[in-house]
Amino acid sequence: MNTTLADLKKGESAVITDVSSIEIPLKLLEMGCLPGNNVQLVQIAPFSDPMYLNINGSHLAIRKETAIHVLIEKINE
Amino acid sequence: MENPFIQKVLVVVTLILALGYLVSKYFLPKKKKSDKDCGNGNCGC
Amino acid sequence: MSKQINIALIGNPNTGKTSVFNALTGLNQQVGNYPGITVEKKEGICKLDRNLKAHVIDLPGTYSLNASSLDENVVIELLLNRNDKDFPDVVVVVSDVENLKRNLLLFTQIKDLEIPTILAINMADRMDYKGISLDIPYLEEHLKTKIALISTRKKTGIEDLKALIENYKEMSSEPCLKASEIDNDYFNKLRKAFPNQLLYKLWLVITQDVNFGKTNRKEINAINSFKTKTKGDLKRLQQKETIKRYQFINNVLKIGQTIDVNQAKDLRSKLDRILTHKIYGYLIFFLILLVIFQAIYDWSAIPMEFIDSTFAQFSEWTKNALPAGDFTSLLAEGIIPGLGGIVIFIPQIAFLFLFIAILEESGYMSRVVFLMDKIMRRFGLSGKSIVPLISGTACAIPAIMATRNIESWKERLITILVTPFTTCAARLPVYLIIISLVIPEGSFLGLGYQALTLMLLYLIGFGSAVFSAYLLNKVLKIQSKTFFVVEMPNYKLPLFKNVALTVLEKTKSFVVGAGKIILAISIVLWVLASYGPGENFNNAEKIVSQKFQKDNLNESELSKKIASHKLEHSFIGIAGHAIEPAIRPLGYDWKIGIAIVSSFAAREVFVGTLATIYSVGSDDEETIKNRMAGEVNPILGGPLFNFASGISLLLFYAFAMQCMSTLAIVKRETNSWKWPAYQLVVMTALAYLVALASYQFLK
Repeated sequence: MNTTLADLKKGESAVITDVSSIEIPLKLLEMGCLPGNNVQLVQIAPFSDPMYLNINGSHLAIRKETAIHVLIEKINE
Repeated sequence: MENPFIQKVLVVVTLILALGYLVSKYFLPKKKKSDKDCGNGNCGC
Repeated sequence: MSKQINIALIGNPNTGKTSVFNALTGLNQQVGNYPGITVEKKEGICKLDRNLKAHVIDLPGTYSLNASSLDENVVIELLLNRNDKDFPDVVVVVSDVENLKRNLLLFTQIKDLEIPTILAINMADRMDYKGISLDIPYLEEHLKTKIALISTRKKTGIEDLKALIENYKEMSSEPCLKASEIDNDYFNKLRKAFPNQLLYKLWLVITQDVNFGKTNRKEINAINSFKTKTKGDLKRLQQKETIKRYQFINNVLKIGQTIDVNQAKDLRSKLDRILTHKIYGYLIFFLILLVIFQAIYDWSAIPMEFIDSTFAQFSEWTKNALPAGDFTSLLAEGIIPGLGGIVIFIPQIAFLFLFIAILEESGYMSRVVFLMDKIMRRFGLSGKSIVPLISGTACAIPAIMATRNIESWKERLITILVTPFTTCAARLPVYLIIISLVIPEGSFLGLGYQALTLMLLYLIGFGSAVFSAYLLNKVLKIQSKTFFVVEMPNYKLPLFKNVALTVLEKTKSFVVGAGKIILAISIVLWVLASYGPGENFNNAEKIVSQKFQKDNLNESELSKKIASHKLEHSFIGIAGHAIEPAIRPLGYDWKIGIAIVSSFAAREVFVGTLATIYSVGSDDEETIKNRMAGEVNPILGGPLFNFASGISLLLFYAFAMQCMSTLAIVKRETNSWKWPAYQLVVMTALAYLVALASYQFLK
């Protein structure tokens, strides 16, 4: 089972590994969601959706349904 | 200078201007916009 | 002779692009629309030196040249069409120092179009605070551009930017990377097929629906036939292109930019922790709304009373100063009260626009979008629908245009359909005057009853929007892909100049737009109320004096009777009596009926219409409100505007779809008459039934 952005917990960080799914909107890539970039879950809205992310300094919010297509590797601290 | 005739004419002129404005605003079609394609899944328009 | 050049300002949203525009042009600016579409076009003039002026366009904010909305499309269409009269001699890409990496994506795309491009890095005053330092010569060399470090907040660097613009001829128009390397075979074929065209331009045309200039239509068709790849393949190539561009940008920034994380102080995360908190977040949002409504009500009371009495005096003065006659009456009884009916609401409308501008400028609105998304989705809306629903409290037209950034068509359509329920500024005049007539003045827990009633009406508007969205979500069978990406910008203290200009611009266009219609309608109404057919109208003096011969009325009482007899038998009186049976069960008389019919085109006409009808033939210097308070119900006796009929009217206006301009916009945005027709029928029927029920219940 692959880890995806949707598995992140509040405050956790990870490295993005793959964004090749066709379900991921181009706009998300343009905003910096690219392989190799760090991502941190800053805040999660009530009812656990959407997710407020910090991707290499770019702050944005996406829904869980998009987040499950972004593969990541968690950083253990 | 009270001239009932001039006053009446002014009223008629104003009325025509007002009606003209309302008709042109609501009933005359505006210039047609270019027939642009709205992108996929109606997302562009 | 002075020369003029074209400049286009382009940049990501939230980079302060509009502040740069304001700094360059000052008050020398105007807002219009792009021909045929309702995207706002901001342009202005900037004086560079004695002989050189620049025509500046502030293009809609976009993250890239891959447009996903009508607004973003404007940017591409302009950049691809060298024949456009606004085609820029030089592009200024405005970026924000904290998000330089992301901002540079758009920059490299524009460079690929081989247009001279200046990079303006805004918010430079925050560099120390964030621990950022830049190697400008290195960046200029590798990005093949000139850079201006500016801060619109501290007003620095604007002169440097102007100097760079002045010397635009020295700017390089060379691309800074070779994006075509992502698929050499494909791009080589493309190059061979269209040797005279810019490769990147071809690529943009292939990947999206843009028509760059009507002159080369034929060629576009030829290019379209070149779509040898499937949609999926093209999308994959676009992904590759984005990755390629970021690789280049990362390499440049690795040397050109250093960030000392330890120096960065973080106010943002502290604020976010409170403002997006699962309890405090909502509480704060609610409190902000409460403050806004209380403020709109309290702060504008004084200027409004002043305007009201000034217009009444002005009307009186006109009547005395000009020679008596029909036209003088038209001025004093038709035009002046009609205009007064709109001018009086300037204070409130300005306050409303002020608060909305502050919420948007400060970055708070995105947090509300984030907080509300999940809840809104239960009703078939998007978190982004909150922006149209809030700005719908100013006016549904810009609100419906603000739905363009909602990615899912279904969510967007539902938002468009329900937005007219929110209480727009045009309903405010009607609400305020009726509330002041029928709701007592006392207060509860420091909040006035009147302010509370107003707040309740806003809640009803919002509630019915959300509830109908829920129903529509169940009924509408539309499959559409949803995705949702929102930038959470930095918190910023709103710039006074930006907010002031927005408020000024929006209020002006509202008042001028509505004012023209109201003026025209009040002229027509005055004529209809002042002339009539047949004996009953033309011999009114005789009929009335005969009728009241025995009552021994004095002069003024008699002239009042004559005036009201005339009004009843004027054209408008006859029409009013004809529709009376339909509105009598709602508690209205024929005069209110006329006001409702005439305000079908635009709600704000209501008060003006009543003002015109009531002032025809009356001699007293009276405010609109006093005239309305004095009206007597012809059948039941007692004041016409009592609690039951007042509430019934308020509810009627809360639900009815009375705005031609909104219907026109909905037609344009949905590309069909079907949706505005539904809105009109459903909302009007609902309004009638609710008003009927409430009057019959409260009577």
